[in-house]
Amino acid sequence: MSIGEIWAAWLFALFSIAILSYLWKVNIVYRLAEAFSVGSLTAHTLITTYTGTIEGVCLKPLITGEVVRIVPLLLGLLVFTRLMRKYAWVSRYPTAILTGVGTGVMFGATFDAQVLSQIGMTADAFKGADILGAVVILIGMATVLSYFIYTHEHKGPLGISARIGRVFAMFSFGLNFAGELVWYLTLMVGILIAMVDTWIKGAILGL
Amino acid sequence: MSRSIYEKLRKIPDGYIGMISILFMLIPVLYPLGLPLPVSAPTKGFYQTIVNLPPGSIICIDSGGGMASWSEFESSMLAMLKLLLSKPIKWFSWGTSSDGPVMTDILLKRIDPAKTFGKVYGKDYLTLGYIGADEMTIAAVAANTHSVASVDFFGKSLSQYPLWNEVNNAKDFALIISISGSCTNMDVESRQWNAIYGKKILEINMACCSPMSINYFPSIMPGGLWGAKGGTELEVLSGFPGPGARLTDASNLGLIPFIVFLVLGNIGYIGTKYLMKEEEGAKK
Repeated sequence: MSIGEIWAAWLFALFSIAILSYLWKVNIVYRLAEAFSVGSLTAHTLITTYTGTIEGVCLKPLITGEVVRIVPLLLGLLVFTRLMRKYAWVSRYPTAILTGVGTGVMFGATFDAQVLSQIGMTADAFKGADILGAVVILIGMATVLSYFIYTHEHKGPLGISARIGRVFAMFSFGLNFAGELVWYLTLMVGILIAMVDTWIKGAILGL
Repeated sequence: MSRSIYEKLRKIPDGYIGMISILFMLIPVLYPLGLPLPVSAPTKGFYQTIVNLPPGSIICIDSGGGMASWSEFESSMLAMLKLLLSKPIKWFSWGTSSDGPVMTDILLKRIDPAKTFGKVYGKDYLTLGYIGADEMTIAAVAANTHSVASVDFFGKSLSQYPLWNEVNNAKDFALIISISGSCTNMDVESRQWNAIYGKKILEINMACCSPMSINYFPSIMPGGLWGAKGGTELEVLSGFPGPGARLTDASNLGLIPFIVFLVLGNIGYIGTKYLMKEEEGAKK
């Protein structure tokens, strides 16, 4: 390992231990590591946004003669008028354009992608060999939808359907929770592997 | 059991569970176990979709994800890149997050495509930097790819690369691979790539996002890799071993204390509730 890599391994290990000290209690070392982490992430995002988006999409093409690229650049600069109380209203224009374009881009395909295709996929499931699975999907979809009917009191058949729908929804929440837990554990494992391989074996033992 | 035992079970400090879990995770980290892992249908779909692409096909990779979740993406991205580079297909990636292109670059440096697979940058594959504006940029890449960037990840002019001149819009892409750390990612990707252009999408995402993405399998999304487990499965299928097995073994073992404490906590909760009811009945 080079000197730079050894330094990086030590920094990584110290910051990881500082963050893990949270398991004991919130303390000054944890707070310090947290602040460093947020600061460095902000700096990284600023730099990549500048080089990728502002420089790559606007400035460089502008220099080569694509005058139209000045429009997003000006709109972006107008957002900063929020910092001056007198001209803060100007920032509403880029926000309105961004919101309008965003909604337009999204809305056009939403019904097709998220409603029609989902219904189509529920029906498509019956074409496969797993008919039982397809029936479960159909019951799940219908009963969960019935749970979200608020214009009619959940009594009688609707009540039964809504209760079944709630069970399906709870299965889904449980799956989400389990996935979250696995995600956190994998992140922890990643840190442990890096600490063992890079810090202990590499930087300390020199293996 | 007495009420105090139930209450103790309910009030086991979170930190203890975390520390015991870390000890469990350390076992496979120090001594790899090689636990058996069945390959799931979405991973098989992911592999088959890439393998079945005709030679010369071009893939567009929407490269998102975050460095904070590196261990969730590392094995999946590494196995995917190796698989793509080992086939006679071309791909170009662009960043939907500020970290995505950096992660791709780190892994490509590790793979060394020229030496390992004889692939040429700019001809067989190309990496762009982060381009902001999320869904609007995806729409722009699909409609007019050249409108979104003029330079690659390294700041060099894109016009010099043959691959860049081969792609103009969605029609030129045989497949989309979306790497993301957002659980609503497939909603966005399916809107812009599938609903409008009918493109199939493969997804790499975190483990917690699989319940949201699985809705699109297999009609719109013929395959997906979620978390380190998905990456490990692709490592097995593609024959490119990587860091996934160790990660998956450790997270599997780390789960055991959580399951045990989940059961104990619930026994404590139900027991306390039952005893409280009994006490109330006795008072009456």
